[in-house]
Amino acid sequence: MSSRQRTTRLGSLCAFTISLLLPATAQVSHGQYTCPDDPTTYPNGAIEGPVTDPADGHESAVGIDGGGRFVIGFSTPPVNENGANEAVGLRFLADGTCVDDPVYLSDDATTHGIHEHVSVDMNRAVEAQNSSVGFGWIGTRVPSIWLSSRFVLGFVTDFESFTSPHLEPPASQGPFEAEVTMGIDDSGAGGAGMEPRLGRTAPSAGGAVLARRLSAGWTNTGLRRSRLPLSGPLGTMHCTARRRLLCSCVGAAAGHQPH
Amino acid sequence: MDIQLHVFDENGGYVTDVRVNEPVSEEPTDQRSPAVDFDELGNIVVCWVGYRADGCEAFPLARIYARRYSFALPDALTPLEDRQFVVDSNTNWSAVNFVDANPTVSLFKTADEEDPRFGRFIVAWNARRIGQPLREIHARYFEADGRPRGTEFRVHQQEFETDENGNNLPYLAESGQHTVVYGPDDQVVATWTVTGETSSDPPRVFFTILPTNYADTLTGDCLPCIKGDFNCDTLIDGDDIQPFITALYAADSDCLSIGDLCRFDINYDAVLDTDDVPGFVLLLLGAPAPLIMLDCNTNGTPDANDIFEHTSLDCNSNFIPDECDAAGATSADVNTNNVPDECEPDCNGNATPDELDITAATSRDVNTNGKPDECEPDCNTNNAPDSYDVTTAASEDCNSNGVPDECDRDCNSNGTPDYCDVRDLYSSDCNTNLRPDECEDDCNTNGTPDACDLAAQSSPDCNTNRLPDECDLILPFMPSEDADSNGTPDECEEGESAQGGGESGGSGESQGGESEESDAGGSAPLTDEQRREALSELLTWIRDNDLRSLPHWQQYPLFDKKARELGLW
Repeated sequence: MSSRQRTTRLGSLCAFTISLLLPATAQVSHGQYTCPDDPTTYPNGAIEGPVTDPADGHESAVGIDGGGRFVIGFSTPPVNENGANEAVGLRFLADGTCVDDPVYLSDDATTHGIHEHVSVDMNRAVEAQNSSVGFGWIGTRVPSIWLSSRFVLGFVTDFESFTSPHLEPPASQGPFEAEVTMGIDDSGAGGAGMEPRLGRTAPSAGGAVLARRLSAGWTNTGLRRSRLPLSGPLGTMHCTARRRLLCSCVGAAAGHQPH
Repeated sequence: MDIQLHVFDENGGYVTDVRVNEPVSEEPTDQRSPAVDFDELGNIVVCWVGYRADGCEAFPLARIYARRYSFALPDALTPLEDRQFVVDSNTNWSAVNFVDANPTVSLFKTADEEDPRFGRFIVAWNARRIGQPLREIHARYFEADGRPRGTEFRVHQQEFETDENGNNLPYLAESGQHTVVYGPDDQVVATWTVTGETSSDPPRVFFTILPTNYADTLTGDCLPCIKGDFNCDTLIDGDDIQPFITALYAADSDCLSIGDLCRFDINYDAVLDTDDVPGFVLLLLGAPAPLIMLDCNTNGTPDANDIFEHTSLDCNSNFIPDECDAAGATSADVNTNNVPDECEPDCNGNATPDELDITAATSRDVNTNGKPDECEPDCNTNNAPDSYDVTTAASEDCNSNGVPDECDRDCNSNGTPDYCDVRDLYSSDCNTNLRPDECEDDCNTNGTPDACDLAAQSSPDCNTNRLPDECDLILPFMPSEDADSNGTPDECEEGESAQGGGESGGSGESQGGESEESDAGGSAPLTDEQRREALSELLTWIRDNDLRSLPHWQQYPLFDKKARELGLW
């Protein structure tokens, strides 16, 4: 059996396993996401409305700009037999009115990635009237034998053009990056993310947090290992940026094992 | 597990970090799912979910915690509270559980840095009704100073009947995903997911916009803080007795939220204890008129609330708004600026505000800085502040240190500060200590400071007593011997006396080189008692020989020789 044949068979096995693990939901097709119905205004002044109706979605995140306009990003259910899904972004005005059209963060033509944990941030940019929008999320290639390889994907666009490079995780072995949080600084020139790195690129008996700057590609900065002596994976972390990048993460106190 | 806050600079470079949660007992605490937000003014809020491990609850539930910080360039990260505080307020609800409470925080967001609403924030999380499958997304608003704006409330307007299988369950996604954001007009946008009505139905995503000042519409809260109104019915009556007693016995101050502590802490000492009982009784009886309910400025808000909410200052901490102090008999206000005189600067301690001293010409203020001249440094005693001397060029200030030159150190008495002598090359300074060389010790009078002789090894110091060897031989007493006249102290030469001088010209009884006890290279270390006796003898010897009256270069070597002789080192 050639390595190519072995890879293909393993990939099929993984895809089959994923299909068993994922909820039995109806598959959706590309282009299904449009602006939802208008929201409802309640007597107390609150406005509430659907984002994904009539289609499905989950794991949403929101960013707001200095004019009150906001963008919501979310993950879709699986769109093919490999368990791959898409990540989508939608624009809204300050009163909750949806702005056509949604943007597909992932490549809706190939869809060979699991796209999850979408994070969104916007800068204030009131003077420019065209705020920056940053998306960051985790992509896992399927079908692949590298199920433990999870990549941070992300890009920055602006509210008016709202375009996407349609990113997919690479077909190669990579790091295990559990989560990402997007941040956009006031200049709108760049974003930043953060995630734990475990396994090959991290200390054998410890964890690390990693800050990255997104400006013409990801740049790794701010790696911190020494203060997080772990014997297990980091739990979660959160990272945001305005003028400075700020992160909060959870680790284990020295001398204590994680629960 | 601990919560860490990391600060990175605009390029992602590490700046500083701090552990956010404070251990409250010897037991390990357990925290996770942190979220953080910050604004241009340096306000930072971190929230997370954790089990209370401080003994405040017999059966700890997962609670939402938060802590505020202030950041200032370059790396100052200052906590604004002594420890974290509990965010959630409804005891019928709990954070869903430790794993998926997913709390998130967002600070008020605007481009106008002058907006007074800067620092406001909201914390949201997944909550469950205790004992029921019902789940909701809850949130709580907070003022910039950390006071809650109302109790926790449900974020989504639609109601969902969550069942035991987790269907119809609204929830916020991961803490790190930015699920709730605070907008520029005090509005909040949240996005959340609802699972299907059955297990085969797909999840759907929604958003909720909470409008401007939504916090002000929340009911059932205990704001503003009315001290003594423990049951939050806006009355201070018999119904408050039991809650007070319960709180007094069951809770300690660390277990109370900021809002609760305000109501219970009757005497403003930041703790709930029996010292609050008399004040509560006074409030309850209503006679004499409790201090708390007075409204001296007739603005419709009790004075205590004015002070607590900073609508009035209370600079003298007498629980009376300053404007009432100044207008009434409780404080003088001779300059009628509505600030009690006891709170105004009075640097000369004459019981008159400095401002009035100057206005009334009882004090001079030649530099018109609002501070009486007698309170300012006047090193040359010319009755003018030093800063005035320098500014008006009445005195020179060659080193621009704000001190007239005549007051600066001038070891060579040439009228120029030492620093300027060296800087302007009027004096050499071979050891770069900013002290002219001519002022340094020069025991061999070769024109080079001893320290430089030693550093340049132009003079040896075989006994490492910081003195050129040739000077060891000319000490006024206890000089080193040099039997072979080769210029090297004998104590440095093999086969000769290990330590200095045979003639101890001092009046001390112990003669150098003659004491068998002291000539004990390799002898046993002194006992503590022997060290005390030796030290006492050394001090007596210093005093008897008036070591301090000797030239500076002789003092340490002689001290060193005597100490060695006594076996102190």
